[in-house]
Amino acid sequence: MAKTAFIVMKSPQELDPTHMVKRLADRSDATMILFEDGIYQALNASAAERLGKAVHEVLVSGEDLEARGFSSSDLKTGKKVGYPEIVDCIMERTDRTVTI
Amino acid sequence: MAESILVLITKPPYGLEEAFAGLRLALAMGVNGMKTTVLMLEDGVYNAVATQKPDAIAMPSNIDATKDLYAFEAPIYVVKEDLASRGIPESKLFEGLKTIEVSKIKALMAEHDIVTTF
Amino acid sequence: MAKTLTILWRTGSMMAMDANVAVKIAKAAKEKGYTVHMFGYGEGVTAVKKGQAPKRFPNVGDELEDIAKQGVTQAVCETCFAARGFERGEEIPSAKVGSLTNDLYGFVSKSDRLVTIAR
Repeated sequence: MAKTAFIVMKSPQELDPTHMVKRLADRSDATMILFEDGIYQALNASAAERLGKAVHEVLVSGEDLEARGFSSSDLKTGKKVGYPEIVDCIMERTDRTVTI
Repeated sequence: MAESILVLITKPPYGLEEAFAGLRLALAMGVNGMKTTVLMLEDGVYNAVATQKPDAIAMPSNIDATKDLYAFEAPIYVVKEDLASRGIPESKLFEGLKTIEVSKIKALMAEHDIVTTF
Repeated sequence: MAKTLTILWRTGSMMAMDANVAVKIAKAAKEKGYTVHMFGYGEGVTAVKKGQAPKRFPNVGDELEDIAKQGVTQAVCETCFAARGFERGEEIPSAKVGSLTNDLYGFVSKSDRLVTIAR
């Protein structure tokens, strides 16, 4: 199956993106890219656990993480990345994006 | 090169411009001959209700915006389970829409090159 | 041939950092050698208004003009632009006030990927 990069910019208090992700893609085909307040999805333990069940990879915008006072060691899931790695994911490692 | 687009409508009509904007984007793609499909899901299924009266708030009709797509053979799917969970019987939908089960969405996605969300 | 990316952004210039995120994705993609197009739709058109002067926030109009110099093409929806009271000539020079049917379709039909930046 085609691989999908899901883009999320909202905090877990605003949105649980996993409901939609599960409808649109299998876990093994799904990556999530977190921007802006979306980074809290990877910091909050229960939200991160949900993400882990819905996608096989989580990329966290490093500058959005740092701006909000957190670092890689605070992540409950995923890894901190820069824009070049995000672009690689969108253009080369996945086949389409879906914004939630 | 993208030859097909799936437009996801997740927002209900009139409170936000999203659903109308998504239907207009779909029309612009369909007019150009691109294979275009609209999927109404989550609260987007409220756009499928036949008894909408947007005149009541002087808004353009999302029903008309949907039907504009029919001329370009762009199928409009509405997710069955999202209708059911909102208590909307399929008899309440306007004509020309197709319903689809959640389990078929992944296959629908696979038929399109690109996806956008409203 | 390098792949092509279209970024469709629909959030206003000051209501969130979304337009700035769109610019950052565009910039990173361009620097990697991809062809990049951007289209502003709905509230997104406010990002191309000429003369934005946010005192302490990033100026997304300036950011768009900067990446245009690197070859990122930009257009916005004319209907959405007019709906917000903007007239032709009020857009930054790098952006075209265009249409979904011509400009967005033109971008999308030549693209390998579409990224939507919206709330």
